[in-house]
Amino acid sequence: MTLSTSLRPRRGRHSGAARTDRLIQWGTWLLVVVLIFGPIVPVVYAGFVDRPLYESGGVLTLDNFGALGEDPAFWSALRNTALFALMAAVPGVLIGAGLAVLVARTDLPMQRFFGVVLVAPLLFPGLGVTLGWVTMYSPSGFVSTWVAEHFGSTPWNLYSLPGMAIVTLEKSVPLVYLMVRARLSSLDTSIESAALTAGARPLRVLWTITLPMLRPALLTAAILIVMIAFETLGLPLILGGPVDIDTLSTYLYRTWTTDPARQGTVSAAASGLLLLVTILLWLRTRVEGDASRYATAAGKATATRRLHLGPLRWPLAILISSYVVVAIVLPVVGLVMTSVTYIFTPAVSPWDVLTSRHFETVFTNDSLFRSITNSLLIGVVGSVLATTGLATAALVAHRSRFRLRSTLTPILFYPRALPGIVVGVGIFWSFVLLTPLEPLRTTVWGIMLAFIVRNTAIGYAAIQSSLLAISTELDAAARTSGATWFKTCRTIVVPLLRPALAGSLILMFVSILNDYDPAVFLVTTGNEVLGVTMLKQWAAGFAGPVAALGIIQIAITAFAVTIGRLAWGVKLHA
Amino acid sequence: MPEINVSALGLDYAAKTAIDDISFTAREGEFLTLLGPSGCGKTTTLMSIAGLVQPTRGSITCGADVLFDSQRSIDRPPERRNCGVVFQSYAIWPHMSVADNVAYPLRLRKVGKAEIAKRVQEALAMVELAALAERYPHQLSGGQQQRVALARAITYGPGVLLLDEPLSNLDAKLREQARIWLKEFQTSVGLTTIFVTHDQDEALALSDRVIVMNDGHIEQVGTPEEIYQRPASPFVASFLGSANLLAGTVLGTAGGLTQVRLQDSGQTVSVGADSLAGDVLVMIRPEDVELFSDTNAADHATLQGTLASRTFVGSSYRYIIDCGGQKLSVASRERWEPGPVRLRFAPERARLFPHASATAVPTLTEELSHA
Ligand SMILES: Nc1ncnc2c1ncn2[C@@H]1O[C@H](COP(=O)(O)OP(=O)(O)O)[C@@H](O)[C@H]1O
Ligand SMILES: [Mg+2]
Repeated sequence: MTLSTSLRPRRGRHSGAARTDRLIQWGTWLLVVVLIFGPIVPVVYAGFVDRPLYESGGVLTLDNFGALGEDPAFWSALRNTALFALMAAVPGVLIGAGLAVLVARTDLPMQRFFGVVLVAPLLFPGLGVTLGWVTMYSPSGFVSTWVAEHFGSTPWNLYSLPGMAIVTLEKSVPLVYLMVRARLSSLDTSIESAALTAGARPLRVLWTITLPMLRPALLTAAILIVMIAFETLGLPLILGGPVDIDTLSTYLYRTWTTDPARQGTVSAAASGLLLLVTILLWLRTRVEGDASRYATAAGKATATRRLHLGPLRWPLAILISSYVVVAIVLPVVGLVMTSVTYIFTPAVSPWDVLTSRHFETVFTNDSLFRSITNSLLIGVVGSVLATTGLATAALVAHRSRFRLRSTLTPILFYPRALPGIVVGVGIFWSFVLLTPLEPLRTTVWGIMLAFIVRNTAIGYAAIQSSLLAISTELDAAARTSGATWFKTCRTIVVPLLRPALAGSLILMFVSILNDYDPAVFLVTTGNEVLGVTMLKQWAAGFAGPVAALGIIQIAITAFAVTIGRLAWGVKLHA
Repeated sequence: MPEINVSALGLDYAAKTAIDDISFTAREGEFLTLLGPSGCGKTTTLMSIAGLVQPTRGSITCGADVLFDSQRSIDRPPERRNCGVVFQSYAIWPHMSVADNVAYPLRLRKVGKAEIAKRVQEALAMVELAALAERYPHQLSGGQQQRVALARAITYGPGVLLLDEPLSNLDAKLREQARIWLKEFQTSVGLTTIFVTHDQDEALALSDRVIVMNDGHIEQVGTPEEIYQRPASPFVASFLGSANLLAGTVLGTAGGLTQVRLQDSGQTVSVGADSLAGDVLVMIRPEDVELFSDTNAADHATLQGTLASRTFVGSSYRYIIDCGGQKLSVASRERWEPGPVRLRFAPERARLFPHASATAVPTLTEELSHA
């Protein structure tokens, strides 16, 4: 038994390859930095110069901020946004956390059903859902009309700040629910058992033991909702628009589109919004860090001991079911019914006014139909590009010795703090100012870029969590065998990462398909995308075709998610 | 086979110095072991040689090749160091068959198809896995995975074989077999091998030479016999096997014997001649101490004590003897009852260490009484 002669790795080829590795690493880093910070630069810069960006000879000044401070509309928008955020965050956290505790820790009936149904809205297109709420609960909506007929009046008004906050629950409750559940699963049930054996009654245990342990998760969830309230555009535009309630984002949108002379002021406001949301993101990351530090040691997986709700079991189940019907099922029903009827009201039986006209309109009207094909196109191309880029970035961040590797993860998570409207305006200005990029401005590719930038964190998180679970010794073994960094990534790490890449692909596709706020400034004839078309058609009063588009959007999303699940076993909320 | 030379190698992490300017040489064809408790820097040292972590200072050479030199800013990437590495987790790529795993380094080297087949066959035969070439990693036992990792690490004829606790993931029975097998394997391929372990038995059984590490530095380098019989520090003495360390003061040296008065009890013991003076520690292994009955051995067993406890450990009994305040562990095949006893050990079996070096060494009796 002897060893064959030694095969040395070839020198020249390898030092060349090492250079390729460095090139890829620098290239990836630069691309990430330019894409994510590039769009912010013109927005912030415009806030500090005395004339519009397209005019030369701008002088640095703080006047824009002064002008902003003197604009009462800005202050009222700021106050409205703060109120809206508060009204959205408090009930959102309470309901989401309550549901999570009940589903995860008690003997509530129908737990598995609730577990699935409660998070389903995360996959619904935000705009479609908002329109669904309007069809049901706005003053002329189906449910409101019915209630008014039977009781004389409706005790709610959707076109108001509380109304906007209620609609926000659709998305915020499932988010809180998931965050709290994740935290609960890291807590050993024995802490509850200990309190029970000490003689505490179940509800008291939930209140005095479980809830305090959840405090960090509740805080991060609250911050998240506040961030959403500050940056969301479509919701306040639809619900606040008709009654002239401005939030920061609609204030920005309106001034930008209607008053070009005040660009400096608006940019100053946008910078302020950016700073605020960035601070919120920083706060949230800090709280999350603290939370993970004092998580109870993840011990051996023991069977979860469930608290007994006793006589409250069924009343609670019925209460939650009513929530599901009112907040999740009915808006979707409203959207469906609006898309297939001439008029959707309790006064007429829907069966008498059924029509396929709205769908026909969608498929025959060039502009409407193009918004579907465009959205599909940028969804497919964008998700492939984004996943490729994000995977490379994750490999540089976690699997290389690249000097600036540790900056990549925070940078890629930063877009969570980028209000869509700011990204949109930033990209618009970048295209206007950088002549070689100008042709991109009126294409779908500019919109695709904006959507990708806005959603990097989603795809990156999916890839990163799987990458961190792959032992670094697997790539170390390839390196010592003679493979360069890039070769190792391609032949060892990427094949092992395949399920996560599929997950990122699906998530990015769905996000790009359903996103719209960054595109409101970029859309012109020819590059329409679903969300913006819906927003504009809605404003023009065409509810039927908009509902049809919403249904199509939901159908495509469901199709993509199903494909992902069947073909790659992708699970969407980790 | 080249020799590996590590010189003044140091590596600082933000909070901690993982290796503290260590130097050693692995000679041609030698089986050299890095032995030390968990966290002492063994893996870091090994991975510095492989090029997977970047040391802060020092240099590493393999024959005439400089692999790393901080002063000359040389840091050859791992793929160009030609080391064969077996990782603690084995790191068999789960998406490739056994044969593909072993062939991977050869494909990187653009070896012809026929040559690859031949070498894979050869390597798998060497590790006695020829029949399992088409299997996938999850269909293999731990012992088989370990051998695939070895085959993969040697197919391309590396300059040096680096093994990071390759036996620690095997269960006790298999580990014993694998140990014998590994030794034969290394002798037959004749590769310079650096082996990392925290298991003293493994180190003693396998190595030509052992480097005992502690907290980032080298405590002692020597053959297994040397480090066991003539430990250079109390740490080495207690880390390799069991050792009693008794505090005392040197009285003087005469006739080839040094007399030491033990603390607390004031009794005097004789050890082999030593140049130390002042406060010392007397090291004696439990199996080197003989017990006698208190009544009839006063002439040749001068040390007196009280048998405080007895533990049956299978092959023998372990006793804790209280020598006027200092506790002493003794191994004996005979069964003794609690009460006064006498003890004796051969002077050449005992060693002296300066007392200052005793810091942070867990005493044996403490360990025993916790067990
Ligand atoms: N990436 C790292 N960052 C910080 N400290 C580290 C890192 N890797 C290892 N260490 C520290 O360096 C010391 C030596 O580690 P290691 O070489 O793995 O020890 P061993 O293999 O002997 O158990 C340990 O204290 C460990 O905590
Ligand atoms: Mg180790």
